[in-house]
Amino acid sequence: MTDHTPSAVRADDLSLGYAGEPVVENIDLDVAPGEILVVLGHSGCGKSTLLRAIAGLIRPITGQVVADGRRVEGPDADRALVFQDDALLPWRSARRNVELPLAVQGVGRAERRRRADEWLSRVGLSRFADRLPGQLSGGMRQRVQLARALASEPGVICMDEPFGALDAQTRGSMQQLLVDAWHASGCTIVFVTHDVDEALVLGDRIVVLGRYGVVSEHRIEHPRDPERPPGPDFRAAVLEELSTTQSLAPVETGRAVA
Amino acid sequence: MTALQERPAPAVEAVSPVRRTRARRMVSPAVTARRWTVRLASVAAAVLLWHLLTQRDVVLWLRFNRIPGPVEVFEAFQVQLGTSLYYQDLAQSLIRILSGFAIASVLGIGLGILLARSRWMADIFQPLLEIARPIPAIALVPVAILLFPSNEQGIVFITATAAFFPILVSTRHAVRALPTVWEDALLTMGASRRRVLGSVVLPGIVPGIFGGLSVGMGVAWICVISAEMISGDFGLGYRTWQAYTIVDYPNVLVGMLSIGAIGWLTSGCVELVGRRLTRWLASEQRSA
Repeated sequence: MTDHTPSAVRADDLSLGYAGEPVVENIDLDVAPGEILVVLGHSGCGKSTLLRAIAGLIRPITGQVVADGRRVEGPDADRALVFQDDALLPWRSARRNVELPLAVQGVGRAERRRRADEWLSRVGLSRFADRLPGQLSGGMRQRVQLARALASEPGVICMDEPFGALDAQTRGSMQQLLVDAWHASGCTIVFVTHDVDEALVLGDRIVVLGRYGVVSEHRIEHPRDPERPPGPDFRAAVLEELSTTQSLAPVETGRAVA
Repeated sequence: MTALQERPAPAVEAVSPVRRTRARRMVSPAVTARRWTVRLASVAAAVLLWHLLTQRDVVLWLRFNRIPGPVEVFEAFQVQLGTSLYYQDLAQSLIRILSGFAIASVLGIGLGILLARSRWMADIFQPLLEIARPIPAIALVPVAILLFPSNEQGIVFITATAAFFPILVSTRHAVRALPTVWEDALLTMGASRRRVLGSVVLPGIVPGIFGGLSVGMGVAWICVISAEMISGDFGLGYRTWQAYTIVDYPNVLVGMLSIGAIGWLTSGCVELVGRRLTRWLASEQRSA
């Protein structure tokens, strides 16, 4: 793997929404290079929208996203986005899906294949490289998506509840896989979830997001250390903050923002 | 940098959909033989009925006494197969339908994508297309004769027009129905619009447009034959109509059977290509 410089992301007084209708307002956020920042919030609080703005898929209503010192104006290969499910192209094999970002970057065929195979083996899917996404289980598809996001070696990976559709056991092993891959790549991860326990397992920091921006920030003392997990008091404090956002969340959730 | 160990459990789950579709195809030879016997017997019975009705000059309100029987038709067919004119007509019709269909496919798919993806293009072209769409292609024969220097181009024009609309409409729907997540995924890889078109839109709409292509081929075939009957000087449609005008009824039926056979062949080709290109769909139809 070649080295690359991790880039940080910053959100300045960000208001986001669709068709000028704000979904979430006044977000101020600072993501340190190489950290895993978990954005925790109830469904409909606009955390997916925030990720789409960081990825450059939507323009802010007000404020700005700054990545790598530059204002984000649109999507860029340096900020990958991992979706919840069904983001693989179903007519391409697992290998050809992983090759796709490399093809976009103009990497040659042989090199593309080599790197795709390497990433597929890292997520434990070497034997399934020629399978179509439809022939893989949900967990395997998410592993392919992870390999696809990592293959192009982006500085930032935005993950939108990537394990939300998986059963508990698969989810646990996927979280471990993600941490391993993150260690290997050194990229920055912005991870969105509504699951407090997932946030505690993965994050360096947890940011609780509400309708009117960041509610609270929690730094985990020994991140991703199975020996010293965050204590019950810490968990309770995060939950407490999370519960304050619920009453503020708009009732007609589950719309485009799910 | 170690790979996670591969767990066997999901592998089994992953294999099952493939197995299931293959298993469905694996029918016992005895069943296959029986089904083919029934199919052939059905055709044989129809031919026999035709023979009896025409042989005995049956007039049951429908006047079978004027229709040539299968023996006559078979003999006429054999004569036709020995003439070069027959193959010339066949080739002429095939060239017309294939060029018309090709033009319609390129224009229909191209314009369909443009209309679905660009509001400007939709506003410019949509009204014109909506006005033109209800006009049956065959009603364009007079215009085609006036507009084009040769009959040949006129017939291809009519054929293409007929096939164009079903292809256009199905393309537009297929593009609109594409999940946005695929395009978003490509964009976040830094892909250009052109790359999105090539990697997501074109392959993604294939299952949706093949319905339109099949229908398009069907109407194209109807129109090429009709146009040939009206204004051709070669081709299966022209030859069939000519046989009628010189009271050569067996050759009318020879023409009809040829039209049927070639029509079956062309739509079979569309279906075959479609199935090949959408093989991945089978893997998508997972247990619900």
